[in-house]
Amino acid sequence: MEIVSPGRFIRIEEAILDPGEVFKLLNSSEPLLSVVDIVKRFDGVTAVNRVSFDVGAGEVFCLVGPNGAGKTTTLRIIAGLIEPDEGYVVFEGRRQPWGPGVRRLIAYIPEDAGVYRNLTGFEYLETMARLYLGEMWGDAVRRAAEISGLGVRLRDRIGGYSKGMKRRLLLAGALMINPRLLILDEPTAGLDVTHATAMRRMILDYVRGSVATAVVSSHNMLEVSYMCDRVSLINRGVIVESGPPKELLKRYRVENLEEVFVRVTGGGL
Amino acid sequence: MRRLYVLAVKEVKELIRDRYVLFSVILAPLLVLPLLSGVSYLAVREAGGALEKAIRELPGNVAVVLEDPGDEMAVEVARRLGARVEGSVEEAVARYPTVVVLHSNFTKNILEGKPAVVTITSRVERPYSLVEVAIVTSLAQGLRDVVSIVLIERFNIDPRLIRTPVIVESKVLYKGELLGGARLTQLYVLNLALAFIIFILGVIALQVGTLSVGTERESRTLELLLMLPISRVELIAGKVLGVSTISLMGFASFLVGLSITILLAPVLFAEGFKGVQQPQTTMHLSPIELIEALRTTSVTSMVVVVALVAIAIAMVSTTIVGILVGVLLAGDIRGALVSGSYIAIILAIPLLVEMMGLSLPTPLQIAFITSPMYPPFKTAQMIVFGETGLATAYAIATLINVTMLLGITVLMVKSERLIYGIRLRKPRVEA
Repeated sequence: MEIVSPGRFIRIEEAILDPGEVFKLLNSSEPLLSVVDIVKRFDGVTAVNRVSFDVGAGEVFCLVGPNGAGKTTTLRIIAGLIEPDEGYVVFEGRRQPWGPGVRRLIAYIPEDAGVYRNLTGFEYLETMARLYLGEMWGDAVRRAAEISGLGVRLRDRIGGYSKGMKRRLLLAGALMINPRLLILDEPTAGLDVTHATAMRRMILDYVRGSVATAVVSSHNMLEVSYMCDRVSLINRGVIVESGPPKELLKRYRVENLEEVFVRVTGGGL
Repeated sequence: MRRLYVLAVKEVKELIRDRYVLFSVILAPLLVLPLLSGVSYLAVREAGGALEKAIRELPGNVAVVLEDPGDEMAVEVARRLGARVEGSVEEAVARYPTVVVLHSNFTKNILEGKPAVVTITSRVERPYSLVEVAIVTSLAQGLRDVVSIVLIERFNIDPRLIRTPVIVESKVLYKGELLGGARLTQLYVLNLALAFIIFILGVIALQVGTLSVGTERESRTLELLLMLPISRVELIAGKVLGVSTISLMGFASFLVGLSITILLAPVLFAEGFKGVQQPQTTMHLSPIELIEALRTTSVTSMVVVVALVAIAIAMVSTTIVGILVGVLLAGDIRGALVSGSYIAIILAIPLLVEMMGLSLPTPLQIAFITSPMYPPFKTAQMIVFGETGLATAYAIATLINVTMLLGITVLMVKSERLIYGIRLRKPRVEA
C-alpha cells in the first residue's frame, strides 16, 4: 500500500506510524529536532560554539566541516551522550535528558563505532532487536538482514568482516529498530565507492520511506551534495553557512561545496 | 648512540605518560607489597601475642585429672605440668579451660612398650582460628615432651627407644559441645573453604569485571551500549549478570583443577612422607584423612544457604567494583587485565588473613570492611559460628557497602566519563 503525497512515497508497512500520523507530520511546520545554541568547552577550548539548527520530518540534515571542527561533539550532544555546557536539544517536543522511552526512537552510529567481534552478524542484530523491540524482534532481524545485503556472511563472526561490511551491519541494525531520529557520524568515511553508495542508498530510502529525520556529519562534500536536503558548514565549532546544497552553489557561484567552504572560511582552518 | 638515545626517550615518554602504565608499573607495585607485608605483620604479631599469652597463662589454666592417683609416672607428669590436680573430669572441665586426663595404667603401658593414653580437653572460643588450633596442637606436643623428660630423668629410659610413648587424644570444648580433633578440623576447614571460595571467586569476578569494560572501550562499542533504551541501573545489572556467569565458569574450572590436585595429593606426596615419623595425635590429618573429614562433615543446610548467599553477594559486589575499576582504569584490554589483577590482590588481602582465622587489630578490621569480599564473608562466618550480634553488625556493613558501591557506580557510569575516560585534564581539542 502506498500513499502518495506531494513528492514523497511512504511505504506504510515499513513505517511505525499510522497513516494519519504520517500526514500530520508531513503537513506540520514544527521541526522534529531542534538544536538550540549549544556550547561545549573542553579545558578552555570551545569545541562547539553556539550551534543551532532545526531538522524536520523526512529531512536529511548534514553537518559538514574539516576534522576537528566540532561535528562529532555536536552529534554526541544530540545523541545525549554528553551534556552541553550551554544550550539545549529538543526532540519531538521533549528536552534532554531523555529516558529510555525517547532513546528507543533514536539510532546513533559513531564515526569509529566498533563491533562485538565475537558475535555473529545475526547474533548482533538479534541482541539489538530484542533490546529495542522486545517481542517483535524476529521481523526486524529479517528486515535488517535484507537491508544489510550481507547474506550468508551474517552467520560469521563480525571480527572477520571488512570495514564496509561492519558499517553496513551497524546501519542495518540501526534502521531495523525504526528510529525517528538517525544520527550518523561520518557514515561512509574510509569506505570504497560500492559500500559508500550502498550506505547512502540505505539511509535515503529509510528517511524518505519512514518520514524519519537524519543528522549526518561528513567531511566529504561530494557525498553531501548527493544526499543532504540541507547543509550547515561548521568550522572551529561555529556554523559559518547554512542552506540547501544547490542554493549554496548558486549563492556563491561555484561548482561544488568544497569551493563554498573555502570561500566562507577564507581557505584556512 | 644518539639514535639509540632518541629511541629510548620516545619509549619512556610514550609509556610513562600512559595513565594505565603509570598505575600498573609504578603505583600498584609500590602499594601491593607494603600492604601485603603490613597486614601480614600485624596479623602475625597479633597471633604471636595471643599464642604467647595462652602459653604464659597455661599453668594456671590447666587442670590434671589422674584416673589412677597412685600411678607414679602420671603423678610426676602432673607435677611437672605445674597444674592443679582435680578429682573428677566434670568438675575440672567446668572450671578450667584446659583439662588433661592421664588414663590408668600410664606407667605400666609405657614400660611394656604400649602407648599410654592422655586426653586433653581444651575450651576454644573460635574454632576457625589458626591460633587456637595451634594452641591445642602445641599442648599435645608439650605433653609429649614432658613425658619424655620424665622418662629420662626418673626412669632413665631413652624415650627414643619407645616407638610411641603416649597417644594424645585432643578434644575441644566449643560452646558446651565436645568436639573431636576431626570435628575441630572440619570447622576449621569450613571457615577456610568459605574464605578460599570467596577469595578465588572475588579475584576472578574483579578481573572479568574490569575486562568487560576494557573490552568495550577497546572495541569502541561503549557508545552503542550507552544509547540502548535501558536505564543505567539495568545496564549495570546486565553487565553484572553476564560477568558473574563468566566468573562462575572460571570458578568451576578452578574447582575441577583443585579436585584433581586433592585426589592426586596422596599419590604424589606419599613417597615424600615415607620415613617421616607421623606425630601420634588425632589432630594430624593426612590428605586421605582430610578428604574423609570433609566427606563426613555434617554441614547443615543452614550453613550451605548462608554460605551461598554470602558467596553470591561477595561475587556481585566484587564484580561491581571490577566494573568501576574498569571505568576508571581500563582504557583497553591490557589495562583492564593489569589493573584488575592488582586491585584484586589488594582487595583479597582480608580473605587471606581470614583463611588462617587470624584476629586483627580493630582499625585494620574496620579498614577491611571496605573490601567488597570481606563483610559478606564475615557475616556468613559469624552466622555459622553462632555470633548473632557480630553477624548483624557485619550484615549491616554488607548492606551499606553494596548500597554505596551501587550509588558510586551509577554516578561513575556516565557516558561522558566512559567515552573520554578519566583524565587528569580534559582533552584539549575534541571534534
